[in-house]
Amino acid sequence: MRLKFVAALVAASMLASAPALATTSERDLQVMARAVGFVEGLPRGNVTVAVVDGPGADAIVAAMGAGVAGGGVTLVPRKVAVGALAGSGARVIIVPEGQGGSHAAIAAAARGLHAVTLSTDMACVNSGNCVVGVAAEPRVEIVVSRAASSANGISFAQAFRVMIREI
Amino acid sequence: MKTINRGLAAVTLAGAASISGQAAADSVDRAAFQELFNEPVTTSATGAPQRATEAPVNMTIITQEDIQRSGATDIPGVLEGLANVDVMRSTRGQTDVAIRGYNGGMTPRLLVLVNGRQVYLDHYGMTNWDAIPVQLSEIQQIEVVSGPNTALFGFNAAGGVVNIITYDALRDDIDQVTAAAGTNGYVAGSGVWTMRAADNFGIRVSVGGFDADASDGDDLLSNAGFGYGALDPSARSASLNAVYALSDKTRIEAEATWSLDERLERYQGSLIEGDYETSSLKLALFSDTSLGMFSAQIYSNNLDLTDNLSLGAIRFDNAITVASASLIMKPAPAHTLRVAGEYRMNEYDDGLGTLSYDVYALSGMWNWQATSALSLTSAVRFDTLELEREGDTLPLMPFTNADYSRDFSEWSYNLGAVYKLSDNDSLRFSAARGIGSPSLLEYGFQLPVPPPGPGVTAFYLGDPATAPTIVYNAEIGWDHNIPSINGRLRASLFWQKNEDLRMLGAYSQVFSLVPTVAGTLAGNIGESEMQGFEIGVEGQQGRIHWDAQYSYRDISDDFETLTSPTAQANFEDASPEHVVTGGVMWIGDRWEFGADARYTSETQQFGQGAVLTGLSSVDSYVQLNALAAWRASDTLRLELSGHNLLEEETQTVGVSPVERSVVLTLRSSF
Repeated sequence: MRLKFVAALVAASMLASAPALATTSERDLQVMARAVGFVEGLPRGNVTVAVVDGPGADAIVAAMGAGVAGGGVTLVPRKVAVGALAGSGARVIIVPEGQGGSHAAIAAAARGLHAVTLSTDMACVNSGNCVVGVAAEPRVEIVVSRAASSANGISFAQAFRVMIREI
Repeated sequence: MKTINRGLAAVTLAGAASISGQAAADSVDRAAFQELFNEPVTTSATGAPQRATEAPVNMTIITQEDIQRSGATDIPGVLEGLANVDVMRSTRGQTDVAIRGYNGGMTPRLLVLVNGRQVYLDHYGMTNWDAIPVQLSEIQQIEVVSGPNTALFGFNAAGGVVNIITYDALRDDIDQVTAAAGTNGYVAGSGVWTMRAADNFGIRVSVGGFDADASDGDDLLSNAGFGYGALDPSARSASLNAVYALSDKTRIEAEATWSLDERLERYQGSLIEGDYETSSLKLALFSDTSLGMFSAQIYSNNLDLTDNLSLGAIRFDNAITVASASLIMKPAPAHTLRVAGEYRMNEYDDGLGTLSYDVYALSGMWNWQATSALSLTSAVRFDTLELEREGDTLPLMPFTNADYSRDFSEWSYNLGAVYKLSDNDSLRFSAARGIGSPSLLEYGFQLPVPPPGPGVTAFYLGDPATAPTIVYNAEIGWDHNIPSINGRLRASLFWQKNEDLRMLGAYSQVFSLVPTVAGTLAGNIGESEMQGFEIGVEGQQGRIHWDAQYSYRDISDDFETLTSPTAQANFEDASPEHVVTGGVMWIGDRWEFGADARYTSETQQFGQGAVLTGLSSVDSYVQLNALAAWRASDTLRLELSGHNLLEEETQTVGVSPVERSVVLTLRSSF
C-alpha cells in the first residue's frame, strides 16, 4: 500500500514537472486547411486527412469534427496508426505534437505516398521530417521544409512560397 | 467611421463570395492569402506578394469593409480617413490628393493605378479621381504607399502610390447595384455584375456615374469674373474585365474601360471647364512557372481632354502604351528576387505636332530573409527617357523641334529593413530615391496668349530642358500590436528632400526683341525639405471599432525667384502642419453607427474666394462625418451618411468651400 502511494506520488510529480504538451488548436487546423489549398496537384473539395494515431490524435480528430474547411478544401479527419500510414493512400497527413519518436517513420511513409505532412511541432519541420509547420498564434507563421517537400514531391503555388518561410 | 484595420478586417462583404479554389497561378489571390494570414497582402511594396506587416515601406491597406464603413461617395473621401493623406477639394468637381503635404492642386507627386495600370494622367501630371473607371463596390482593397516607390513603379511614384485593387473576375462573385441621392443635387448610381461563363472564364462588368450641383463657392468664383460659369459636375464610367484560366498555372486577363467627366477646375489664376474622356485596353498574362511567377502586360490609355479657357478651347490628346514583364523567383529559401523590364511610349498631340517620349526601364529587387527576425530588401531601377517632337510649330515659336530632342537617364532605389523585435513589435527602416518626370506639358506645351502690348507675340510654354524632380526619403517606423485592444499602434519618423521641383508658368522670358517674342515658361523652381512624424492607433472591443491618427510635417521651401506674375508656389505654408483624424464605429447585427472627424491646422493658400493671386489665411477647421447603416437583409443595405456636418460651408485647403451634405445610399447585392 505504501509502495503504491509512493509510486503515485512519483508519477504525479513526473506529470507535474513534464513540459506541457502544446496542442494543435482549431485555429491551427484552419491554417493547415488553407495552406493545403496552395499545394499543387491536390484535389479540391473533401480531402481525407490522416491524423497520425498516438498522443494528441484524439484531440485533433475531435476538434476537426466532420471536417475543417479553408482555401477550397475541406480536410476530413481519419486516425491512422504510424504502421498503417504507408497503405492509407492519404495525401495529407497531420502529425500531432508529442510524436517525436515517430517522425522518421512518418516521413518515410509520407515520401511513399507523396503526401504533405503538417504539424504544429516545428521540430518535425526543422528536422526535415514534416513538410509544413504551422503556428496560428500570436500571428500566423508557416514554415516549409524544402528538403521534405522535395523528398515527397510536393510543390506549392509560387506566391505562397514567396510569403512563407522556407528552410 | 473610417476605421482602417489592416489586420482585423474580414474578407467578405454582403454580396461578395469566393467562387474558386486558389492553387491557380497568380495574379495574387489576395482574398485567399488574407484568409490564410489573417491580414491583407500586397504587391505594391516590392512587386512580390507580401503580408502587409512585412512590407518594407510605409503602407496602409484599406479594405472593402473599410470603404463601406467610411460612408464616402468617392475614393478621395475614403482616403481622407488617413491623416497623412491630404485631400484638396478645389471645386465641387475637382479633387486632388497628395501624401504628406505638397498638395498644390493637380499634384504630380502621387502615382495612382488600378490593378497596376496607371490612371495618373501624364499630359499634365495629375489624377482626375472622378474619371477613374472603377466603382467603389468592386474595389477589393486600396494600397496606399507613403513616400517614393519609383524603383517598382517608375516615374511619378515620387511622393506616394495609390494602387486600387479590384475584385477578381474569376475568383470573386460581386453583383451589386447602388443608388444614391443627396443634398446639393447629388444623384449617383453604380452596377457591378460578375458572370462565370465557365469554370475557367469569368467576366465582370461595371458601370456608374453621378451628377451634382456646382457649389456656392464655384458660383462665387465664376461670378468674380474668371470667365466661366459654375459648372455642374458629372461623371460616367464603364469597365469590362475578363479572366480566362488556360490552366491551373496560367491565366490571361483582359480589360477595357471608358470614362467621361465634366468639371470646373482651377489652374493657377484661371477657372477652366475640363471635359475629360478616357479609355483604355489592357491584356495581361500570369503564369506560375518552374522559375517563378511570370507576368507580362501591355496596356494603352487614351485621354481626350478639352479645356475651355477664357482664351478659347484647348484640346489635349494623350496616348500612352506600356509593355512590361517581370519574373519573381525564390532561388534559395531566404532569397526572393524580382527582375523586370518596361517600355513606355507617351504621345501628346497638340494639333500642330506630336510631342512624345519613349522610356526604357530595367529593374530588380532582392529580398533577403537574413534571420527569422530580420528581412532586408533592395530594389533598383534604371530608366532612360528619350524625348522628341514632330510636326509644325507655331509661328515665332522660340523652340524648334530639334530643341525637344533630348534624353536623360535616372536611377532610383528603395531600400528597406524590417526587424521583428518580438511577436508584437517590429521596426521598419527605409530609404528611397524617387523620380518625378516632367509632364508632357512641362516639356512641350505651346499656347499663344494675348500679347501684353502691340507688336509682341506671347506664348505659354513648356520647356524641354526641364529636369526631373528627385525625391530622397528616409524613414523609421514602429508597429506594435496590442492584443488587449485587438489592435495596433503604428508610428513613423521621416525626412524627405525634393530637388528640382517643377511647375508650369514659372518664369517670364523675352526670347527676342525684334520681333518681340515673350513667354511664360515651365521650369524647375528649386527644392523643398520636409521632416515629420505620424502616429496612429486602432482597436476593436466587442462591437466597437475605433482609430485615431496624427500626422505632423514641417516643410521648408528654397525656391528660385519666380518671374512669372501668376506663378504660385509655396508648399511650406500651404501644407497643413498638423492633421488629426479619429473615428468610432458601432457594428451591430443589423445596424451600424459611426462618426469620424478630421482636424486640419491653419494654412496659407493661394486664390481663396474671389482673389486668385496672393496668399491668404485659411483657419484651422474640423470636418465631421457620420454614418448610419441598416442591413435590411443579407442582400439589402441602406446607408445615411452626413459629411462636413459642423458647418454649412467650411473653407478647407481647396479654393471653394466644402458644403455640408447628406447622402442616402441603397445597396442591393444579388
